Amino acid sequence: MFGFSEARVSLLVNATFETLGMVGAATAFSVLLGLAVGVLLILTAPTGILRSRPLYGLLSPIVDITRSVPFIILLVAIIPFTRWLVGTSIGTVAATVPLVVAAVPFVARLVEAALKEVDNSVVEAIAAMGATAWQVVTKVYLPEAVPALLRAATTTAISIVGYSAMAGAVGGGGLRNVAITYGYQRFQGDIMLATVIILVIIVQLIQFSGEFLARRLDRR
Amino acid sequence: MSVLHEPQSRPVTDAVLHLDGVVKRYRTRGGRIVALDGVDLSVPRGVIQGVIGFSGAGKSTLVRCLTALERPDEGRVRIGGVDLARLLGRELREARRGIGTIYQGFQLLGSRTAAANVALPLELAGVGWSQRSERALELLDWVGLSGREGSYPAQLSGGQRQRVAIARALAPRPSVLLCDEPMSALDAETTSSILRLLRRVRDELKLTVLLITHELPAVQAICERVAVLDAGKVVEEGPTAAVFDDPRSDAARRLLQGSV
Repeated sequence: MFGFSEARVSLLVNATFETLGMVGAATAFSVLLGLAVGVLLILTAPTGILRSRPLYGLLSPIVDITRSVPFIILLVAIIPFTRWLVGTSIGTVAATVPLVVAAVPFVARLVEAALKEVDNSVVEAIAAMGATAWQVVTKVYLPEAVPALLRAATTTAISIVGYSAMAGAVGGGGLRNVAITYGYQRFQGDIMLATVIILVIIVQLIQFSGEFLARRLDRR
Repeated sequence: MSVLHEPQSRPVTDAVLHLDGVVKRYRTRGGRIVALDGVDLSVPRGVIQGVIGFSGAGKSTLVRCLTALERPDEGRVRIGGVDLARLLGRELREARRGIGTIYQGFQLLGSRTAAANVALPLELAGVGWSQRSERALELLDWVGLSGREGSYPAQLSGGQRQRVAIARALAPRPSVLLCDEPMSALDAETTSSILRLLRRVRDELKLTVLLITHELPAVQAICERVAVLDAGKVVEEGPTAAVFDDPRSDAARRLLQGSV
């Protein structure tokens, strides 16, 4: 295809794996952390079973403020934190850190919205049955919201694919790096096109598998 | 002003459910609302007690106080001698197992099969898997749903869902079954089959049943005693036949007129 030399093919293959690794790791971490924050939001909200004005009042603005910082600025602003956490501020691993920091509040709001869809009267009925808050989360909120949570994870992964391109600004590597270095700066249009096609395929695969699983697990 | 048709001769200790001057106020944008304004009610063991009232009379708040989802501002809610309003944490969770509740909207988990829904209260209490599945199957059989244990709520009819909810409420062997408008989402035929089931709950399992509803025919069909709730107070209480034949309170008269 494209009459690409072996070197250029391996360049693209490596870049694809770098992007996949970055997106995969960032999605996994941000979904886990975002799930925890989202659950805390729903529990401490004014209608939640652990309603807490101070905790919700603290958490909710932090989530919104982090969400409103443009990613490219956040990327640079948290460099000291990134360096402290992973020892460097350059490269694929370092790029994962700001990706997670940016995605967690995004996931938290998606999770909160997904859990809000769970009928509050059902939640209360189970609480009235003698459930602990933890049991309400693990036996009601999460299982009931599985399809919505999977769709939230899908949306997150796709957003992270987009954001990961910006992470190239700190030497994040991956397809973005190839697209800019070879496609843009060296006018190799075919390389540019190849990276775009690969990205489209990645996004389609994420969307398709997320939707497939969500439908499969929907009992309604 | 409480009009009693007969003096309550039974000692208080015999009452499995005892509400004592229960007051609940809400603060809303429109100001303060007194939802319950000193509710007194004693339900003797093994009785099917009805509580009727217009919407806004305080029925929903009463249910929320009985399930300890709300704490009364004043008064006591005792079930089997234990004051629910005073309990916290583990003790409250254990006391809650003494009262099973069914609702108008069934409140089943859509992600679980009928059997897993019935087993849920036992799962919450830490009962082992084989023991709770055995009990779930036994209860589903008892409510007339044997063979449907693997069905999800979405695959069941309204009447079948309410049967699953009844089985679930009975799973932890409570002493009281609280029914919050349990027939309002069901048709006439299904309603009478659910009423027959509630009577079996009392007759065969010896539970006390509290039926909170605005549907007078249901109360007339199965309740021995009925309390009339109006503006947050029990304004009349007595044997169902006596209250229906000769209502003393204004609220009871209006309720009965509406139903004819």
